[in-house]
Amino acid sequence: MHTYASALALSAVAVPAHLDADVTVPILSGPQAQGDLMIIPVTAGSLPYPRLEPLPSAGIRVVHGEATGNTHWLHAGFESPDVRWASDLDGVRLGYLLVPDAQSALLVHTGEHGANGIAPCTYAIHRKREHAVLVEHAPFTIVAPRLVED
Amino acid sequence: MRRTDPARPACEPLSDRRRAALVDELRRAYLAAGLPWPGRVWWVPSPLVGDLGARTAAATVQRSHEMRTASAASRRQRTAAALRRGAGRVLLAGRTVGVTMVVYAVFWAVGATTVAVCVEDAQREGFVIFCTMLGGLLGGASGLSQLGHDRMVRADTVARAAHDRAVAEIDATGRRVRAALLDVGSPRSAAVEDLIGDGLRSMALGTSRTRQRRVDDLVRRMTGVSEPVTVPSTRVTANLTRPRTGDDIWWWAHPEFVIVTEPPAEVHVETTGGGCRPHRPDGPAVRWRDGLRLYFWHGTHVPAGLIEPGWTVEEIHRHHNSEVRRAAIERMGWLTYIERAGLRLIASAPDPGNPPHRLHLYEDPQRRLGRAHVLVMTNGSPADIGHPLLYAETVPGHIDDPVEAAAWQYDCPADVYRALQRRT
Repeated sequence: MHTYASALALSAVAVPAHLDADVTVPILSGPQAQGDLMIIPVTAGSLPYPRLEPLPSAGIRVVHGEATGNTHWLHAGFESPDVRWASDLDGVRLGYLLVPDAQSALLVHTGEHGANGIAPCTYAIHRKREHAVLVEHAPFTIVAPRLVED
Repeated sequence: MRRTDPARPACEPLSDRRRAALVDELRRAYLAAGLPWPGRVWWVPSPLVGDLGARTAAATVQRSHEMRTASAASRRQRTAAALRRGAGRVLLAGRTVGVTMVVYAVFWAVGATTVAVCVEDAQREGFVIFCTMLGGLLGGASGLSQLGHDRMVRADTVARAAHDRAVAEIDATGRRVRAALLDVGSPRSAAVEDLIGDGLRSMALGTSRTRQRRVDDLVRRMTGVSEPVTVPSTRVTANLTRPRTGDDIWWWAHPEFVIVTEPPAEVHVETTGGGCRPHRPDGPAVRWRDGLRLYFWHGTHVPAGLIEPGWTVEEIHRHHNSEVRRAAIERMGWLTYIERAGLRLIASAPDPGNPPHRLHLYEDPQRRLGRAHVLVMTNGSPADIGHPLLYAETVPGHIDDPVEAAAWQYDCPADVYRALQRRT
Protein backbone atom coordinates (compact mmCIF):
# COMPACT_ATOMS: atom_id res chain seq x y z
CA MET A 1 0.00 0.00 0.00
CA HIS A 2 1.19 3.46 -0.81
CA THR A 3 1.49 6.14 1.79
CA TYR A 4 1.40 9.80 0.89
CA ALA A 5 5.18 9.83 1.13
CA SER A 6 5.70 6.90 -1.24
CA ALA A 7 2.95 8.00 -3.64
CA LEU A 8 4.15 11.56 -3.94
CA ALA A 9 7.72 10.36 -4.25
CA LEU A 10 6.70 8.82 -7.59
CA SER A 11 6.35 12.34 -8.91
CA ALA A 12 9.31 13.60 -6.88
CA VAL A 13 6.98 15.70 -4.76
CA ALA A 14 7.49 16.40 -1.07
CA VAL A 15 4.52 15.71 1.17
CA PRO A 16 2.62 18.95 1.85
CA ALA A 17 2.55 20.07 5.46
CA HIS A 18 -1.16 19.40 5.87
CA LEU A 19 -0.81 15.70 4.99
CA ASP A 20 0.57 13.00 7.25
CA ALA A 21 3.31 11.35 5.25
CA ASP A 22 2.71 7.93 6.78
CA VAL A 23 -1.02 7.76 6.17
CA THR A 24 -2.07 5.11 3.67
CA VAL A 25 -3.60 6.34 0.44
CA PRO A 26 -7.01 4.64 0.15
CA ILE A 27 -7.53 2.58 -3.00
CA LEU A 28 -11.12 3.21 -4.12
CA SER A 29 -13.21 2.00 -7.02
CA GLY A 30 -15.93 4.66 -6.87
CA PRO A 31 -15.83 8.19 -8.25
CA GLN A 32 -13.16 10.41 -6.75
CA ALA A 33 -12.21 14.03 -7.23
CA GLN A 34 -8.73 15.46 -7.05
CA GLY A 35 -9.00 19.20 -7.25
CA ASP A 36 -10.13 19.96 -10.76
CA LEU A 37 -9.98 16.36 -11.97
CA MET A 38 -12.57 13.65 -11.45
CA ILE A 39 -12.07 9.91 -11.76
CA ILE A 40 -15.36 8.54 -13.04
CA PRO A 41 -16.09 4.80 -13.31
CA VAL A 42 -17.37 3.92 -16.77
CA THR A 43 -18.54 0.70 -18.40
CA ALA A 44 -15.77 -1.47 -19.75
CA GLY A 45 -17.29 -1.26 -23.21
CA SER A 46 -16.65 2.48 -23.51
CA LEU A 47 -12.86 2.18 -23.49
CA PRO A 48 -10.90 2.54 -26.76
CA TYR A 49 -8.96 -0.70 -26.19
CA PRO A 50 -6.65 -0.56 -29.23
CA ARG A 51 -5.29 2.77 -28.05
CA LEU A 52 -4.72 1.86 -24.43
CA GLU A 53 -1.04 1.88 -23.55
CA PRO A 54 0.88 0.83 -20.46
CA LEU A 55 1.87 3.66 -18.15
CA PRO A 56 5.56 4.49 -18.39
CA SER A 57 7.55 4.21 -15.19
CA ALA A 58 7.78 7.99 -15.02
CA GLY A 59 3.99 8.21 -15.16
CA ILE A 60 1.73 10.24 -17.42
CA ARG A 61 1.25 13.95 -17.02
CA VAL A 62 -2.53 13.99 -17.23
CA VAL A 63 -2.99 17.73 -16.98
CA HIS A 64 -0.75 20.60 -16.16
CA GLY A 65 -2.06 23.78 -14.57
CA GLU A 66 -0.41 26.68 -16.36
CA ALA A 67 -1.68 29.08 -13.74
CA THR A 68 -0.35 27.25 -10.73
CA GLY A 69 2.45 25.22 -12.21
CA ASN A 70 1.01 22.08 -10.62
CA THR A 71 0.54 18.81 -12.42
CA HIS A 72 -1.72 15.80 -12.00
CA TRP A 73 0.37 12.67 -12.65
CA LEU A 74 -0.97 9.21 -13.26
CA HIS A 75 1.19 6.32 -12.05
CA ALA A 76 0.80 2.58 -11.84
CA GLY A 77 0.58 1.27 -8.26
CA PHE A 78 2.69 -1.48 -6.69
CA GLU A 79 2.99 -4.56 -8.87
CA SER A 80 0.63 -3.07 -11.43
CA PRO A 81 2.39 -3.46 -14.78
CA ASP A 82 -0.83 -3.77 -16.79
CA VAL A 83 -2.46 -0.47 -15.91
CA ARG A 84 -3.26 1.23 -19.21
CA TRP A 85 -4.17 4.72 -20.30
CA ALA A 86 -5.51 6.21 -23.52
CA SER A 87 -5.53 9.93 -24.02
CA ASP A 88 -8.89 10.80 -25.54
CA LEU A 89 -9.59 14.50 -25.41
CA ASP A 90 -13.22 15.36 -25.89
CA GLY A 91 -14.81 18.25 -24.05
CA VAL A 92 -13.76 17.87 -20.44
CA ARG A 93 -12.65 14.26 -20.92
CA LEU A 94 -8.90 13.73 -20.80
CA GLY A 95 -8.79 9.99 -21.40
CA TYR A 96 -9.60 6.49 -20.24
CA LEU A 97 -7.94 4.36 -17.61
CA LEU A 98 -7.96 0.60 -17.24
CA VAL A 99 -6.89 -0.89 -13.91
CA PRO A 100 -6.85 -4.73 -14.14
CA ASP A 101 -7.82 -7.04 -11.31
CA ALA A 102 -5.42 -7.09 -8.36
CA GLN A 103 -3.63 -3.99 -9.61
CA SER A 104 -3.94 -0.29 -8.83
CA ALA A 105 -3.17 3.17 -10.11
CA LEU A 106 -2.35 6.45 -8.42
CA LEU A 107 -3.31 9.98 -9.33
CA VAL A 108 -0.75 12.30 -7.78
CA HIS A 109 -1.01 16.07 -7.57
CA THR A 110 2.14 18.13 -7.23
CA GLY A 111 0.22 20.74 -5.25
CA GLU A 112 -1.94 20.46 -2.18
CA HIS A 113 -4.25 17.66 -3.33
CA GLY A 114 -1.94 14.77 -2.47
CA ALA A 115 -2.74 11.37 -3.95
CA ASN A 116 -5.74 9.22 -4.83
CA GLY A 117 -5.54 5.45 -5.10
CA ILE A 118 -7.54 3.82 -7.89
CA ALA A 119 -8.84 0.23 -7.59
CA PRO A 120 -9.43 -2.26 -10.44
CA CYS A 121 -12.13 -0.98 -12.81
CA THR A 122 -12.45 1.11 -15.97
CA TYR A 123 -12.56 4.87 -15.69
CA ALA A 124 -12.70 8.13 -17.54
CA ILE A 125 -10.81 11.07 -16.13
CA HIS A 126 -12.53 14.40 -16.60
CA ARG A 127 -11.33 17.88 -15.86
CA LYS A 128 -13.45 20.71 -14.61
CA ARG A 129 -15.12 23.48 -16.52
CA GLU A 130 -16.59 26.80 -15.60
CA HIS A 131 -19.45 28.71 -17.11
CA ALA A 132 -17.35 31.40 -18.68
CA VAL A 133 -18.01 34.99 -19.44
CA LEU A 134 -16.11 35.74 -22.58
CA VAL A 135 -17.92 38.37 -24.55
CA GLU A 136 -16.85 41.92 -25.14
CA HIS A 137 -19.19 44.86 -25.37
CA ALA A 138 -22.13 42.80 -24.13
CA PRO A 139 -21.97 42.81 -20.39
CA PHE A 140 -21.99 39.33 -18.93
CA THR A 141 -23.26 37.46 -21.92
CA ILE A 142 -22.46 33.82 -21.39
CA VAL A 143 -21.12 32.04 -24.41
CA ALA A 144 -18.87 29.14 -23.64
CA PRO A 145 -17.48 27.01 -20.86
CA ARG A 146 -13.93 27.48 -19.74
CA LEU A 147 -11.67 24.74 -18.43
CA VAL A 148 -10.40 25.07 -14.91
CA GLU A 149 -6.90 24.35 -13.71
CA ASP A 150 -5.52 23.84 -10.27
CA MET B 1 7.55 37.20 -7.52
CA ARG B 2 10.26 39.38 -8.89
CA ARG B 3 12.00 37.90 -11.84
CA THR B 4 15.69 37.57 -11.78
CA ASP B 5 17.86 36.70 -14.67
CA PRO B 6 21.17 35.08 -13.87
CA ALA B 7 22.78 36.78 -16.83
CA ARG B 8 21.55 40.25 -15.93
CA PRO B 9 19.00 41.28 -13.37
CA ALA B 10 16.10 42.23 -15.63
CA CYS B 11 15.39 45.51 -13.94
CA GLU B 12 18.78 47.11 -13.67
CA PRO B 13 19.76 49.89 -16.04
CA LEU B 14 21.87 48.72 -18.91
CA SER B 15 25.58 49.02 -18.46
CA ASP B 16 27.55 50.85 -21.13
CA ARG B 17 29.06 47.55 -22.12
CA ARG B 18 25.68 45.85 -22.53
CA ARG B 19 24.39 48.88 -24.39
CA ALA B 20 27.30 48.73 -26.81
CA ALA B 21 26.81 44.99 -27.22
CA LEU B 22 23.14 45.47 -28.06
CA VAL B 23 23.92 48.11 -30.64
CA ASP B 24 26.55 45.86 -32.12
CA GLU B 25 24.03 43.04 -32.24
CA LEU B 26 21.60 45.25 -34.14
CA ARG B 27 24.33 46.47 -36.47
CA ARG B 28 25.27 42.91 -37.34
CA ALA B 29 21.60 42.09 -37.90
CA TYR B 30 21.26 45.00 -40.33
CA LEU B 31 24.31 43.88 -42.24
CA ALA B 32 23.13 40.28 -42.24
CA ALA B 33 19.85 41.48 -43.69
CA GLY B 34 21.71 43.24 -46.47
CA LEU B 35 20.82 46.67 -45.17
CA PRO B 36 23.31 49.46 -44.57
CA TRP B 37 23.71 50.23 -40.89
CA PRO B 38 22.09 53.62 -40.32
CA GLY B 39 24.53 54.45 -37.56
CA ARG B 40 21.94 56.49 -35.74
CA VAL B 41 20.66 54.88 -32.55
CA TRP B 42 18.29 56.63 -30.21
CA TRP B 43 17.67 55.30 -26.77
CA VAL B 44 14.23 56.03 -25.39
CA PRO B 45 12.93 55.48 -21.87
CA SER B 46 9.94 53.29 -22.68
CA PRO B 47 8.18 51.49 -25.55
CA LEU B 48 5.50 54.16 -25.65
CA VAL B 49 8.04 56.85 -26.40
CA GLY B 50 9.78 54.50 -28.80
CA ASP B 51 6.61 53.81 -30.72
CA LEU B 52 5.58 57.40 -31.12
CA GLY B 53 9.14 58.49 -31.77
CA ALA B 54 9.67 55.84 -34.41
CA ARG B 55 6.47 56.66 -36.22
CA THR B 56 7.10 60.36 -36.12
CA ALA B 57 10.67 60.08 -37.30
CA ALA B 58 9.78 57.57 -40.02
CA ALA B 59 6.96 59.72 -41.32
CA THR B 60 9.21 62.76 -41.38
CA VAL B 61 11.88 60.90 -43.30
CA GLN B 62 9.22 59.74 -45.74
CA ARG B 63 7.88 63.21 -46.20
CA SER B 64 11.33 64.57 -46.83
CA HIS B 65 11.96 61.97 -49.49
CA GLU B 66 8.70 62.86 -51.19
CA MET B 67 9.46 66.54 -51.12
CA ARG B 68 12.81 65.94 -52.76
CA THR B 69 11.25 63.70 -55.43
CA ALA B 70 8.55 66.21 -56.18
CA SER B 71 11.02 69.03 -56.46
CA ALA B 72 12.82 67.21 -59.26
CA ALA B 73 9.76 67.56 -61.51
CA SER B 74 10.85 70.80 -63.10
CA ARG B 75 14.24 71.89 -64.32
CA ARG B 76 14.22 74.90 -62.15
CA GLN B 77 13.26 72.80 -59.25
CA ARG B 78 15.84 70.21 -60.25
CA THR B 79 18.48 72.84 -60.29
CA ALA B 80 17.36 74.10 -57.02
CA ALA B 81 17.22 70.59 -55.78
CA ALA B 82 20.75 69.95 -56.96
CA LEU B 83 21.88 73.01 -55.11
CA ARG B 84 20.06 71.88 -52.07
CA ARG B 85 20.94 68.22 -52.33
CA GLY B 86 23.98 68.41 -50.21
CA ALA B 87 22.26 70.47 -47.66
CA GLY B 88 19.15 68.35 -48.04
CA ARG B 89 20.82 65.33 -46.59
CA VAL B 90 21.96 67.34 -43.67
CA LEU B 91 18.50 68.82 -43.43
CA LEU B 92 16.96 65.39 -43.53
CA ALA B 93 19.12 64.12 -40.76
CA GLY B 94 18.63 67.28 -38.80
CA ARG B 95 14.93 67.21 -39.34
CA THR B 96 14.63 63.62 -38.27
CA VAL B 97 16.63 64.35 -35.21
CA GLY B 98 14.60 67.47 -34.66
CA VAL B 99 11.29 65.70 -34.91
CA THR B 100 12.39 63.02 -32.58
CA MET B 101 13.74 65.60 -30.19
CA VAL B 102 10.37 67.30 -30.23
CA VAL B 103 8.71 64.02 -29.43
CA TYR B 104 11.10 63.43 -26.59
CA ALA B 105 10.67 66.96 -25.36
CA VAL B 106 6.93 66.60 -25.32
CA PHE B 107 7.19 63.34 -23.50
CA TRP B 108 9.65 64.64 -20.99
CA ALA B 109 7.56 67.75 -20.50
CA VAL B 110 4.25 66.07 -19.89
CA GLY B 111 5.76 62.88 -18.56
CA ALA B 112 5.20 59.45 -19.98
CA THR B 113 2.88 58.70 -17.10
CA THR B 114 0.52 61.41 -18.25
CA VAL B 115 0.67 60.19 -21.79
CA ALA B 116 0.26 56.62 -20.63
CA VAL B 117 -2.80 57.57 -18.67
CA CYS B 118 -4.15 59.24 -21.73
CA VAL B 119 -3.54 56.33 -24.04
CA GLU B 120 -4.14 53.55 -21.59
CA ASP B 121 -6.85 51.37 -23.01
CA ALA B 122 -6.90 53.57 -26.05
CA GLN B 123 -4.19 53.27 -28.63
CA ARG B 124 -6.32 55.30 -30.94
CA GLU B 125 -6.16 58.14 -28.48
CA GLY B 126 -2.42 57.80 -28.22
CA PHE B 127 -2.29 58.00 -31.94
CA VAL B 128 -4.32 61.18 -31.87
CA ILE B 129 -1.47 62.77 -29.98
CA PHE B 130 1.04 61.50 -32.44
CA CYS B 131 -0.92 62.63 -35.45
CA THR B 132 -1.52 66.00 -33.97
CA MET B 133 2.17 66.45 -33.50
CA LEU B 134 2.91 65.04 -36.88
CA GLY B 135 0.18 67.04 -38.50
CA GLY B 136 1.60 70.18 -37.01
CA LEU B 137 5.04 69.41 -38.29
CA LEU B 138 4.02 68.30 -41.76
CA GLY B 139 1.59 71.14 -42.13
CA GLY B 140 4.46 73.56 -41.87
CA ALA B 141 3.39 74.99 -38.57
CA SER B 142 6.26 76.13 -36.50
CA GLY B 143 6.60 73.63 -33.74
CA LEU B 144 3.28 72.81 -32.21
CA SER B 145 1.66 76.20 -32.54
CA GLN B 146 -1.78 77.11 -33.75
CA LEU B 147 -3.25 75.25 -36.70
CA GLY B 148 -6.04 76.61 -38.81
CA HIS B 149 -8.89 74.30 -39.64
CA ASP B 150 -8.02 73.90 -43.33
CA ARG B 151 -4.41 73.30 -42.57
CA MET B 152 -5.38 70.82 -39.94
CA VAL B 153 -7.53 68.88 -42.36
CA ARG B 154 -4.74 68.91 -44.92
CA ALA B 155 -2.26 67.83 -42.31
CA ASP B 156 -4.58 65.05 -41.33
CA THR B 157 -4.72 63.74 -44.89
CA VAL B 158 -0.99 64.07 -45.34
CA ALA B 159 -0.39 62.46 -42.01
CA ARG B 160 -2.52 59.46 -42.86
CA ALA B 161 -0.74 58.81 -46.13
CA ALA B 162 2.76 59.57 -44.92
CA HIS B 163 2.26 57.58 -41.81
CA ASP B 164 1.05 54.50 -43.62
CA ARG B 165 4.02 54.59 -45.95
CA ALA B 166 6.43 55.28 -43.13
CA VAL B 167 5.09 52.47 -41.01
CA ALA B 168 5.32 50.15 -43.97
CA GLU B 169 9.00 51.02 -44.15
CA ILE B 170 9.49 50.31 -40.47
CA ASP B 171 7.63 47.07 -40.91
CA ALA B 172 9.66 45.98 -43.92
CA THR B 173 12.97 46.89 -42.35
CA GLY B 174 11.95 45.35 -39.06
CA ARG B 175 11.05 42.11 -40.77
CA ARG B 176 14.37 41.87 -42.55
CA VAL B 177 16.42 42.76 -39.52
CA ARG B 178 14.39 40.49 -37.29
CA ALA B 179 14.87 37.61 -39.70
CA ALA B 180 18.59 38.24 -39.70
CA LEU B 181 18.59 38.43 -35.94
CA LEU B 182 16.82 35.11 -35.75
CA ASP B 183 19.46 33.69 -38.03
CA VAL B 184 22.23 34.72 -35.70
CA GLY B 185 20.23 33.30 -32.84
CA SER B 186 20.10 36.39 -30.71
CA PRO B 187 16.52 36.71 -29.56
CA ARG B 188 14.97 34.36 -27.11
CA SER B 189 11.30 33.56 -27.20
CA ALA B 190 9.67 34.57 -23.98
CA ALA B 191 6.02 34.37 -23.10
CA VAL B 192 6.35 37.22 -20.63
CA GLU B 193 7.65 39.58 -23.27
CA ASP B 194 4.84 38.53 -25.58
CA LEU B 195 2.24 39.21 -22.91
CA ILE B 196 3.78 42.56 -22.10
CA GLY B 197 3.69 43.32 -25.81
CA ASP B 198 0.03 42.38 -25.89
CA GLY B 199 -0.52 44.60 -22.90
CA LEU B 200 1.13 47.52 -24.61
CA ARG B 201 -1.02 46.96 -27.64
CA SER B 202 -4.20 46.57 -25.67
CA MET B 203 -3.53 49.88 -23.95
CA ALA B 204 -5.00 51.27 -27.05
CA LEU B 205 -7.99 49.20 -27.84
CA GLY B 206 -10.60 50.38 -25.41
CA THR B 207 -11.81 53.85 -24.75
CA SER B 208 -13.60 55.82 -22.13
CA ARG B 209 -15.04 59.27 -22.07
CA THR B 210 -12.78 60.32 -19.24
CA ARG B 211 -9.69 59.25 -21.10
CA GLN B 212 -10.94 60.76 -24.31
CA ARG B 213 -11.39 64.03 -22.48
CA ARG B 214 -7.91 63.84 -21.05
CA VAL B 215 -6.46 63.19 -24.46
CA ASP B 216 -8.45 66.03 -25.96
CA ASP B 217 -7.22 68.34 -23.24
CA LEU B 218 -3.64 67.30 -23.79
CA VAL B 219 -3.93 67.70 -27.53
CA ARG B 220 -5.54 71.10 -27.05
CA ARG B 221 -2.69 72.22 -24.85
CA MET B 222 -0.17 70.99 -27.36
CA THR B 223 -1.78 72.40 -30.45
CA GLY B 224 -4.00 75.19 -29.34
CA VAL B 225 -6.84 73.89 -31.51
CA SER B 226 -10.12 72.74 -30.16
CA GLU B 227 -10.51 69.51 -32.12
CA PRO B 228 -7.79 66.91 -32.32
CA VAL B 229 -6.69 65.47 -35.61
CA THR B 230 -7.78 61.88 -35.58
CA VAL B 231 -6.62 58.96 -37.62
CA PRO B 232 -8.84 56.00 -36.85
CA SER B 233 -6.47 53.39 -38.11
CA THR B 234 -5.96 50.10 -36.42
CA ARG B 235 -3.11 49.16 -38.68
CA VAL B 236 -0.89 51.83 -37.29
CA THR B 237 -1.24 50.44 -33.83
CA ALA B 238 -0.72 46.85 -34.79
CA ASN B 239 3.01 47.03 -34.33
CA LEU B 240 3.39 48.94 -31.15
CA THR B 241 5.91 46.43 -30.01
CA ARG B 242 8.67 45.78 -32.39
CA PRO B 243 10.86 42.73 -32.54
CA ARG B 244 13.26 42.87 -29.69
CA THR B 245 16.59 41.49 -28.79
CA GLY B 246 15.59 39.99 -25.47
CA ASP B 247 16.25 41.63 -22.12
CA ASP B 248 12.79 43.25 -22.20
CA ILE B 249 14.03 45.68 -24.81
CA TRP B 250 11.85 46.84 -27.63
CA TRP B 251 13.36 48.36 -30.72
CA TRP B 252 12.29 49.77 -34.04
CA ALA B 253 14.31 49.32 -37.19
CA HIS B 254 14.28 51.87 -39.98
CA PRO B 255 16.70 52.36 -42.86
CA GLU B 256 17.81 55.67 -41.41
CA PHE B 257 17.63 55.12 -37.67
CA VAL B 258 17.12 52.60 -34.90
CA ILE B 259 15.16 53.34 -31.77
CA VAL B 260 15.86 51.18 -28.74
CA THR B 261 14.09 51.29 -25.39
CA GLU B 262 15.66 51.14 -22.00
CA PRO B 263 14.63 48.03 -20.07
CA PRO B 264 11.81 48.32 -17.55
CA ALA B 265 12.65 49.17 -13.97
CA GLU B 266 10.40 46.43 -12.61
CA VAL B 267 8.94 43.23 -13.98
CA HIS B 268 6.80 41.07 -11.72
CA VAL B 269 5.80 37.63 -12.84
CA GLU B 270 4.29 34.48 -11.48
CA THR B 271 5.74 31.16 -12.35
CA THR B 272 3.64 28.60 -14.14
CA GLY B 273 4.52 25.10 -15.12
CA GLY B 274 5.69 25.99 -18.58
CA GLY B 275 7.19 29.35 -17.81
CA CYS B 276 5.96 32.54 -16.30
CA ARG B 277 3.59 35.40 -16.99
CA PRO B 278 3.25 38.95 -15.73
CA HIS B 279 1.20 39.24 -12.58
CA ARG B 280 1.14 41.52 -9.57
CA PRO B 281 -1.80 41.85 -7.19
CA ASP B 282 -0.73 45.11 -5.55
CA GLY B 283 0.91 47.31 -8.15
CA PRO B 284 2.17 47.59 -11.71
CA ALA B 285 3.61 44.35 -13.00
CA VAL B 286 5.84 46.24 -15.41
CA ARG B 287 7.20 49.71 -14.87
CA TRP B 288 9.59 51.72 -16.98
CA ARG B 289 11.72 54.46 -15.56
CA ASP B 290 9.80 57.24 -17.28
CA GLY B 291 6.69 56.22 -15.38
CA LEU B 292 4.96 54.04 -17.95
CA ARG B 293 3.22 51.23 -16.10
CA LEU B 294 1.38 48.10 -17.10
CA TYR B 295 -0.85 46.15 -14.77
CA PHE B 296 -1.43 42.43 -15.13
CA TRP B 297 -3.63 39.95 -13.29
CA HIS B 298 -2.41 36.40 -13.94
CA GLY B 299 -1.27 37.40 -17.39
CA THR B 300 -4.36 39.46 -18.26
CA HIS B 301 -3.62 43.10 -18.92
CA VAL B 302 -5.94 45.16 -16.75
CA PRO B 303 -6.54 48.86 -16.11
CA ALA B 304 -4.48 50.40 -13.32
CA GLY B 305 -7.47 51.14 -11.10
CA LEU B 306 -8.44 47.49 -11.00
CA ILE B 307 -5.23 46.81 -9.09
CA GLU B 308 -4.66 50.15 -7.38
CA PRO B 309 -6.85 50.56 -5.39
CA GLY B 310 -9.15 47.85 -6.77
CA TRP B 311 -12.56 48.27 -8.29
CA THR B 312 -15.91 48.52 -6.60
CA VAL B 313 -18.70 46.20 -7.64
CA GLU B 314 -20.18 49.01 -9.72
CA GLU B 315 -16.89 49.61 -11.51
CA ILE B 316 -16.59 45.90 -12.22
CA HIS B 317 -20.03 45.75 -13.78
CA ARG B 318 -19.37 48.85 -15.85
CA HIS B 319 -16.36 47.43 -17.67
CA HIS B 320 -17.06 46.11 -21.14
CA ASN B 321 -14.50 43.32 -21.21
CA SER B 322 -15.43 40.06 -19.56
CA GLU B 323 -11.87 38.89 -18.95
CA VAL B 324 -11.13 42.13 -17.18
CA ARG B 325 -14.36 41.84 -15.19
CA ARG B 326 -13.40 38.35 -14.15
CA ALA B 327 -9.93 39.53 -13.15
CA ALA B 328 -11.52 42.30 -11.11
CA ILE B 329 -13.83 39.86 -9.33
CA GLU B 330 -10.93 37.53 -8.62
CA ARG B 331 -8.90 40.48 -7.35
CA MET B 332 -11.79 41.33 -5.02
CA GLY B 333 -12.38 37.65 -4.22
CA TRP B 334 -15.53 35.83 -5.27
CA LEU B 335 -16.78 35.54 -1.73
CA THR B 336 -16.42 39.26 -1.15
CA TYR B 337 -18.00 39.88 -4.52
CA ILE B 338 -20.99 37.70 -3.64
CA GLU B 339 -21.53 39.73 -0.50
CA ARG B 340 -20.96 43.17 -2.00
CA ALA B 341 -22.89 42.52 -5.18
CA GLY B 342 -25.82 41.25 -3.16
CA LEU B 343 -25.98 37.78 -4.66
CA ARG B 344 -28.77 35.60 -3.25
CA LEU B 345 -28.35 32.08 -1.89
CA ILE B 346 -30.56 29.71 -3.87
CA ALA B 347 -29.72 26.42 -2.18
CA SER B 348 -27.17 24.53 -0.08
CA ALA B 349 -26.38 20.83 0.09
CA PRO B 350 -23.77 18.52 1.64
CA ASP B 351 -20.68 18.29 -0.55
CA PRO B 352 -20.35 14.64 -1.67
CA GLY B 353 -17.00 13.12 -0.72
CA ASN B 354 -16.02 16.24 1.18
CA PRO B 355 -17.64 16.12 4.62
CA PRO B 356 -18.47 18.15 6.64
CA HIS B 357 -18.50 20.84 3.99
CA ARG B 358 -21.47 22.03 1.98
CA LEU B 359 -22.03 23.40 -1.50
CA HIS B 360 -23.77 26.76 -1.84
CA LEU B 361 -25.39 28.04 -5.01
CA TYR B 362 -25.98 31.76 -5.57
CA GLU B 363 -27.75 33.87 -8.15
CA ASP B 364 -27.69 37.54 -8.94
CA PRO B 365 -31.22 38.94 -8.64
CA GLN B 366 -30.18 41.81 -10.91
CA ARG B 367 -28.97 39.44 -13.62
CA ARG B 368 -25.63 41.18 -13.90
CA LEU B 369 -24.10 37.74 -14.30
CA GLY B 370 -26.42 36.97 -17.16
CA ARG B 371 -27.76 33.47 -16.84
CA ALA B 372 -24.91 32.29 -14.65
CA HIS B 373 -25.09 31.08 -11.09
CA VAL B 374 -22.17 31.00 -8.71
CA LEU B 375 -21.23 27.80 -6.88
CA VAL B 376 -19.29 28.20 -3.64
CA MET B 377 -17.23 25.18 -2.63
CA THR B 378 -14.67 24.17 -0.05
CA ASN B 379 -11.32 22.86 -1.17
CA GLY B 380 -10.99 19.12 -0.53
CA SER B 381 -7.49 19.57 0.79
CA PRO B 382 -6.64 22.05 3.49
CA ALA B 383 -4.63 24.92 2.11
CA ASP B 384 -1.48 26.05 3.84
CA ILE B 385 -3.41 29.03 5.20
CA GLY B 386 -4.55 26.81 8.09
CA HIS B 387 -8.28 26.76 7.41
CA PRO B 388 -10.49 25.38 4.66
CA LEU B 389 -10.28 27.40 1.49
CA LEU B 390 -13.60 28.54 0.09
CA TYR B 391 -13.78 29.35 -3.57
CA ALA B 392 -16.45 30.03 -6.15
CA GLU B 393 -16.97 29.34 -9.82
CA THR B 394 -19.68 30.13 -12.30
CA VAL B 395 -22.12 27.48 -13.51
CA PRO B 396 -25.08 27.65 -15.92
CA GLY B 397 -28.03 29.61 -14.62
CA HIS B 398 -30.59 26.90 -15.41
CA ILE B 399 -29.14 24.67 -12.68
CA ASP B 400 -30.74 25.28 -9.29
CA ASP B 401 -29.32 22.31 -7.40
CA PRO B 402 -25.79 22.69 -5.94
CA VAL B 403 -24.85 19.04 -6.46
CA GLU B 404 -26.11 19.11 -10.03
CA ALA B 405 -24.09 22.25 -10.53
CA ALA B 406 -20.95 20.54 -9.20
CA ALA B 407 -21.64 17.52 -11.43
CA TRP B 408 -22.06 19.82 -14.44
CA GLN B 409 -18.56 21.15 -13.76
CA TYR B 410 -17.09 17.70 -14.44
CA ASP B 411 -19.70 16.82 -17.06
CA CYS B 412 -20.78 13.74 -15.17
CA PRO B 413 -24.26 12.56 -14.12
CA ALA B 414 -25.47 14.05 -10.85
CA ASP B 415 -26.04 10.56 -9.48
CA VAL B 416 -22.40 9.69 -10.07
CA TYR B 417 -21.34 12.88 -8.38
CA ARG B 418 -23.55 12.12 -5.40
CA ALA B 419 -21.63 8.85 -5.04
CA LEU B 420 -18.29 10.65 -4.84
CA GLN B 421 -16.18 8.66 -2.38
CA ARG B 422 -13.36 11.02 -1.80
CA ARG B 423 -12.32 14.52 -2.69
CA THR B 424 -8.79 15.73 -2.19
